[in-house]
Amino acid sequence: MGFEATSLAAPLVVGASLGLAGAALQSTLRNPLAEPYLLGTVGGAALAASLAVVAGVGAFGGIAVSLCAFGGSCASLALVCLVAWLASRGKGVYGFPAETVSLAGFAVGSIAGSAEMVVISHAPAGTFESVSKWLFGDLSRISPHAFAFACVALAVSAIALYSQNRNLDSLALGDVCARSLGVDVRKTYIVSLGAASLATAASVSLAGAIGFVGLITPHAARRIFGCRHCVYLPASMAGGALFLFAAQQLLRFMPEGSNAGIVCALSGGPFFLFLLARRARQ
Amino acid sequence: MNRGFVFSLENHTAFAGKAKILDGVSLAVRQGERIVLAGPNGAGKTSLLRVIALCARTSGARPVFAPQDIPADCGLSGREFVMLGRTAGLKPFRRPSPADFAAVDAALAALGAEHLADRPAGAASGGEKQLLAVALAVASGAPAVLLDEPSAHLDMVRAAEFSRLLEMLAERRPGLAVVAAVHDFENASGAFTRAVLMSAGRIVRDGTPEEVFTQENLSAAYGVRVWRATRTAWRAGAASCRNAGFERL
Repeated sequence: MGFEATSLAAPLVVGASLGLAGAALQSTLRNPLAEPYLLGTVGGAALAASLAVVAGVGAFGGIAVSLCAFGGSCASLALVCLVAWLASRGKGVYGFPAETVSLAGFAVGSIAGSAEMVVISHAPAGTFESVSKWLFGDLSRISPHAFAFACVALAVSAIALYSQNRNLDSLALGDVCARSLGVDVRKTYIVSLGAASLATAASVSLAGAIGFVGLITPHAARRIFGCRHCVYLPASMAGGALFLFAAQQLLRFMPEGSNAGIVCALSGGPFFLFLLARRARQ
Repeated sequence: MNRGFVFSLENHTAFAGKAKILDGVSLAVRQGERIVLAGPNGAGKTSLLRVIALCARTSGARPVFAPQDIPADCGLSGREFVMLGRTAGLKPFRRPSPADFAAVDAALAALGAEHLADRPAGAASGGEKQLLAVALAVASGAPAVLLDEPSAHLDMVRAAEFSRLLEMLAERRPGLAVVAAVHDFENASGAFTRAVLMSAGRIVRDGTPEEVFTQENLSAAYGVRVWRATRTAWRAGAASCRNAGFERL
């Protein structure tokens, strides 16, 4: 695939991944502020990428650094999951520690972010420029290998999440009710969080942290299409893809130094406020 | 397990952290029994229902813990909401089968809630949400339904309708067992065949409502003096509140 085509398609894949992951996390964590980066993935990816650049992995090409970023995302997630598992041990039957997962994700992200600053401040000049992509997001320098990897990750996590759509619907009844109906609640949580994490980690390793899309698109999709996951998940995914693609096109008219996340917030923010106000009037 | 029993717990103890919330509870429920679970706050009524839903020994399908609330932003129609009761048997990439739709419509009909089928479930009133929640449990095909404070948000007229709902269910689904934890047991006791009184994590009395809801039993369970104020209602007195330690506040 040519470089041009990859750059054109990258916002679609990244936006779809973020929309999908955000929708899955808002359903499973029952937290309206849940977004793909809540679980510490960005901090982990940026830290791993900086360490890789400092260690000279960059000599093996962009894909090597991307893989390290992916590994960093996964390591942060593993740490969050470990804390959540420790917290839920012995609680037995009463459900999933959604609040612990959110807070642990925030803490892991903060730790990784601060460690990242320490690494950068002691690194040779030029390191910051090579890792700024993961910190602030950049859809312009896309490696074709990382792009192919993100496409596969998106497809796998979309199928995995869609296979759970009815179980995710039933979580709204409460864990005890869902379990008494015969729904395997634990499996639903594991599959959903795993799929959301895979999609997020792949999109972070591809383009770094693109803000706003993963938080707002699921809310907009829920308000427009309702909360049945068989509609909500694809709608959020498609919405994220189109939104980020449009933002990337708008970026041409923006001053130098802006990125797609900024355009998303500037253009999508007012639209989302409109949706909120319309809802409040009803 | 004896024939006719839908579930049983034997000498079950449960902890929340280090606190014992259920202390050696045994309960066996037969087909068609309608049980009222009474007792002071913290006696373990909700814990008992959860334990029944998740760990009781059953002779077939699990008892279903009816959902307690339908969020206002739930975008489902009444029929779609009740269909959630069939989740475990549905395939992720297929529409529900005609048998699933038939079970949902039969459950709505059994509760006289056909009029809610095509209306948004989140916009229903408290009493209507109650109907949908019970219909969901009935539609799942479970042999027993567990209700936690079903009349907590209902005014006195609706609460009386709730006991009619139970009688209707007994008539149309005679084999279905119902266990309901309620505070205003005097309103609904006519609809129940059996009463279980709990206190401090134990079952202290188990029998017919007439046997269980006596002055001695209730006074012992609630730790305050209780007397019968009218033919059907019970009162706990101000003097007894002082005895129970409220004055220390």
